[in-house]
Amino acid sequence: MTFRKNTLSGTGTALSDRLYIKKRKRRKRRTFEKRAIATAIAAFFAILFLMPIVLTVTNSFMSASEISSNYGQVFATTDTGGKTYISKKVNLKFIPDIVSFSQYITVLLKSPDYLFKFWNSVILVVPIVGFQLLVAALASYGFTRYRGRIKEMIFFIYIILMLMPYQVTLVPNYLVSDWLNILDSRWAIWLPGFFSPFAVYLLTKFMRRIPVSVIEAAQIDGAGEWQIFRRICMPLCKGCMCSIAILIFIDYWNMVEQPLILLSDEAMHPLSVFLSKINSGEIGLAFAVATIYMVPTLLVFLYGEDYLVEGITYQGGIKG
Amino acid sequence: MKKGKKLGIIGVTVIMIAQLFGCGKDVQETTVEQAADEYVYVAEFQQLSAEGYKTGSMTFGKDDKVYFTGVDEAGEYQLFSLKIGESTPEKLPVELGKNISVQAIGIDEEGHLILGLIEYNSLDEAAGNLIEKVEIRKISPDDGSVKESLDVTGALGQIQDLYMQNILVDEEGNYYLNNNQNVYVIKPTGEMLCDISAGTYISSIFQDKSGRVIIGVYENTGWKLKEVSIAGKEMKDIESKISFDYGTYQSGTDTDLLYTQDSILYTCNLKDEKPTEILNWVDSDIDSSSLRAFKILEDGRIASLSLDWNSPDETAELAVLTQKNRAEVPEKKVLTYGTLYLTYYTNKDIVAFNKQSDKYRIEIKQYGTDDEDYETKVSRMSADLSGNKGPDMIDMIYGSASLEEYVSMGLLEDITPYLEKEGGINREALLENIIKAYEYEGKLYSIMPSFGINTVIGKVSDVGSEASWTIDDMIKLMDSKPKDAEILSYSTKSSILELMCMMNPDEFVNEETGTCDFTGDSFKKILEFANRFPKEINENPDGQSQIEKIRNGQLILLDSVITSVQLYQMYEYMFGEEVNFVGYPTIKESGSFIVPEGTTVGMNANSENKEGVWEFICFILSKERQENLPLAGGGFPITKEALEKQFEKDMEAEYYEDTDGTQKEKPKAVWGTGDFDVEVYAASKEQVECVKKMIETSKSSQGRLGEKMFAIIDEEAQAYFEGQKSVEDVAMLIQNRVQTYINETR
Amino acid sequence: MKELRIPKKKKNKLVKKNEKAKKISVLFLSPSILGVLVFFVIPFLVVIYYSVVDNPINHSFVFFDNFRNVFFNGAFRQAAFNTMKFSVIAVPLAVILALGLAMLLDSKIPFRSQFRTFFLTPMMVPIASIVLIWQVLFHYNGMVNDVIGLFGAGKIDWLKSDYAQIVIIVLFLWKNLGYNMILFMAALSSIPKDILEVAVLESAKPWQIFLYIKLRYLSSTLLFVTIMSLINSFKVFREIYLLTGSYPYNTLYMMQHFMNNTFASLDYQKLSAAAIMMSVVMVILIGILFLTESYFGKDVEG
Repeated sequence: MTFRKNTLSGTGTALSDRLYIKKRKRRKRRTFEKRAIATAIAAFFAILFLMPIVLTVTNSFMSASEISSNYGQVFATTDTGGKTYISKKVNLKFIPDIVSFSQYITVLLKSPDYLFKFWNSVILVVPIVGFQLLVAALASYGFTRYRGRIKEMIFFIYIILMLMPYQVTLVPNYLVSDWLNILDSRWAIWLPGFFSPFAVYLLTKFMRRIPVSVIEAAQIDGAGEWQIFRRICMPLCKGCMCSIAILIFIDYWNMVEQPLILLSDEAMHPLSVFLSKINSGEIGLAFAVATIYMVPTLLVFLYGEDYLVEGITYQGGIKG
Repeated sequence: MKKGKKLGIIGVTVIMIAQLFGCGKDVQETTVEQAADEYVYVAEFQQLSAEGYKTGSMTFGKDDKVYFTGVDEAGEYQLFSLKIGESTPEKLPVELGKNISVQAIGIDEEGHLILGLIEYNSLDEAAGNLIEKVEIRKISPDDGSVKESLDVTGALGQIQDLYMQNILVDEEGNYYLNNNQNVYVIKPTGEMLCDISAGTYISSIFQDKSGRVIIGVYENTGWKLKEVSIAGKEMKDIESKISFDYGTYQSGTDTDLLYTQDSILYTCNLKDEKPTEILNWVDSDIDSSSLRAFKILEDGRIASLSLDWNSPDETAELAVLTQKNRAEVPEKKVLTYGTLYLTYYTNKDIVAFNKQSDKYRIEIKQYGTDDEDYETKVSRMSADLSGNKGPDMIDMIYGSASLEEYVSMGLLEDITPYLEKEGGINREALLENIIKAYEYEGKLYSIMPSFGINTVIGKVSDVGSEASWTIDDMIKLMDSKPKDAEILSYSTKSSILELMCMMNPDEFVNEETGTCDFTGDSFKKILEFANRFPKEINENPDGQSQIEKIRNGQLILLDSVITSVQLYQMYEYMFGEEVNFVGYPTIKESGSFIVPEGTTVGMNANSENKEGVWEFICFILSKERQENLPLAGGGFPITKEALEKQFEKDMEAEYYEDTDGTQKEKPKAVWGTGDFDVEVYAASKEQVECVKKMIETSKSSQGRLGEKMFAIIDEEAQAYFEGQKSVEDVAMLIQNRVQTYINETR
Repeated sequence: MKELRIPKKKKNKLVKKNEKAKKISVLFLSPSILGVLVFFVIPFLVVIYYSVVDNPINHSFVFFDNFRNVFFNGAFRQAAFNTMKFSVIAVPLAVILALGLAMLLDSKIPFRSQFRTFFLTPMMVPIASIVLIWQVLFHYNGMVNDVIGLFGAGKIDWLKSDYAQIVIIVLFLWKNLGYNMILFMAALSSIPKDILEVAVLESAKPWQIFLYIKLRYLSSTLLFVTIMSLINSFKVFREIYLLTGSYPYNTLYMMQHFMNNTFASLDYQKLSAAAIMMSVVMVILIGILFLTESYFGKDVEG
């Protein structure tokens, strides 16, 4: 039982509409109940999913002492850096006893360290997002046009490389950075980021679903490869690129391991590194820092969520 | 909604751009540093004073002269001056009575010398050192003529243990003297203006450009600079954007201050954003830890005065540093010394080696700074090592991995062939059981120059005189003592558990089959045993000192790292009767183990200068270095000859002539833990024998239970100690997790 | 359809142009290939090299010794087993539950777009908060035990018992469902409406519609979501690590623990050999996924 688009186009729409309405009336009650249950399930999940973010934000308004009395023991470490045992009952606390802005005041005004680290994150991540997209856009176009066996092979290699866990490549990466003399500079993070196969994979998957005819039509009209890329392909990929940008952004915004190994100067470390090794001494500020750190991600999401939804999988827009 | 989003995005962008300006500056500064790298300060050294010279005060004058106290050819205590660049010091004709000590030399605005003098009843420590007169004397630096003499006995004479560390004078003519924790301000008339306590030891005192008197202290929260405020009779915090840390601080030439921190000399004004780096003392073969004073001379050269309290001869040294182009300086082969933490002793060894070697120069490669966390440093050093960029020498004590890990990487060179070579050190000359500590699979990878023995000390009447005992013995001892008696000092459930695991690794882990057994009875026994100890160290609830507790029978055993015969003598005094180094209890056999001390070097198998590394190892094991190990604390020397000599020295009595003309034995040192002081005299043969026996029976601590393994054990054991899980459950979890660890490392 | 309209003359020209264009298309690829070569392929070759020498200092060739050692290493086997088990359970769950959520939201419930946003929020939460929350929830003295205590159940040490994998799977699902769901929503909305309508007309049962229409149209998204979930299933390690340390309860000991720890102890031969074995498995796995997709998904692409 296969359906072909072509067999349907232009016929039957009116008929199906009529029949559909009839059936709908019968089902109306059942649909209502169903919908209520569906909403309830969705709401249940939504609460679960929202909890951490709400917790982070509300706890950022606690005073440092309230936080350490709440969660101090979770983050306490032994002298040797090991974990300590949580011996007393711990509970998540959503509502602060007293709303206090002291965390924010410390983070934003008193110790500029956090803002510097925040800024470090920005300088590390923004170029990576931009250049990875640029490189990937070009490469994906290359992979999409004139697919041949060699290109398929290379593409498959890209996928394998993309799936490598970072522990595997970290040492060789360190060596390569050293050979290139970019160790301890931001280039050691930037360059591998620019050429990461991740965006290439996503974008190629997308581009390959653009009907060949669209491109060939332009070709016949005399457009060169660059024009096709620039004028036809890129506008079609805009949504997808945005959604990939979001993914890359989130990925690198939360990176921890690379800066730790490749940047010995702690002054260059991004805020994510700090957040990953919060200990009991710093927990008092952690929530405000985390909240501030979420702001760019939040902006990116609010701005780009629609793209995220429509992006990645090609849905036409131009019919063949 | 849409508008709100946009505004938010713009807002964030603006903040970021604003921050961008802040970052532009960093770039410029790095280029400056690179330029400075082309130059290097080359030092010329000069010993201060003549033979027989002992510690004294010294200072730089306003003119390019150094003023210091010493003893002349005739054995007379004198004040000297030495013009920088000249070789012989001149005597300053200053009237110093027989029992007067010049404790501090200060310089005022006009360049006069301000002497802080104390006259005692006798200069010999044994006679009691009673203060007769305290005087502040202003003299001319040229001919020593007295400009002013101020008797301040009334103001200061009554202060206990008065010792003047420094003396300063402000614009109004007030004198500032500091003594341990206090600053005394004396009016020009000689009365006390005020006495301000810093609450902690004052490490540095100096004046900034405006004449404010500033002290540097190490407080609980870290290093602080504070202003001595007469008006408020208090120490006021000084705000500065520069983060100062522990170091030597003094007034600058054209700036507020000149200071040395982490072996780097900086100059800065308190208002500056960042200090200016002048030089790294290590590059000029100067040990920054013994620096007393430094000065930028008018011609740009830098002079420094060092005095090493730890060296046996205590001679002061003047160094004049001239900036030279790197190209002009004779090229030496550079060896790198990699470590996570540079100890005081290692710094000394390296500086001394550099100074005497005309072929090699060791550069220190310290991975990370003190405020970075340990793991970051380790991963950085590891990456370097595995990337073949490792240093020529690896600090085996403060390195990033264990001996086994280095060896499995093929990173360390076997030094046995070097030991067999002619002309170097001979294996027979070294203590065999100590050498073994760095032996692994039949190869030798490092030699520790000195060592201590970690052991447990108890009365012979309690622990017997065997060299070892078992847990059962210890439990028996515990049961025989009153319930509230503390069995081992500063021990907690965790620390006992750790010790027990460390001492009995073979019980639980079978290296050969790669299996472990924590579910057996012996581990449960250890858990239950550890559970008998307190959870946390109870810091003297009844205010009793350790020695009182021992004497009262409330504390039975002490554990300690024994590094000298003198320490043994001290412990014997503490226990009040014969003691035995019985070691930690084990299930089977003995437990005193070797703790490496001093510069313990591993030779990188990849090094291109292995000969140089060997030369350094030979240097630290040389007769001269071995026989002159830093006084106490530095450990026993590893060469048999030096150790024997050390023992002889320990047994040799020194005498002095008392006021009534009789010969009396002079104490070798005064030891104490803060609660008591004991004068240590020549050791008896028995005492030395006891130490010897302990050294001979000690084992190496290599191959013991790893830190990671213990971290797992400790984490899980807490649930049992808290009474939340049963011994069985905890043992099962430990078994589960440790087995994974063992599997992985195989 | 357009192809039919191309005049013969022009079509010949097109062939010639193609040759040139092919070369140009390689130009487009070159920056990426160059970068990937330097920063990914060369490092990978170094990994291969490491895996066949005895240590990075001596460089003597030992063939497959390292592989043999690693293969017979108990921890490696444990890690491989756990990782596989985790992936086999978590990845399909992430796909199926996400698809379920997507269909749920597709059924025109109120506040759809709000729900969608909510489900995405776990992607934003910084790791510190995640670790804190999971720690507090699942610790022996944590909230979950408190709650089940109310129902009279005994305490469970969630992270240190056979329940541990469940906790981690929940964590993984929580983090990744949202994104997967979005991918499915996009794909669902791209299924031509007319096909569904005809199916309804022809009285197809809902499960038939789902199985024969929706799933077919979703097949390439399914593969994509699976690959993305697989990638993310490797990333969840960071949370596990921060929650439980380098040597967790044995059912939590993942491939990444093995690699991370061997990395920390400088044992690169072991690390490299393990990495290569892992890549081989990965190549096979992805190969199978691709084959499956091209088998099932053929008829809808075009």
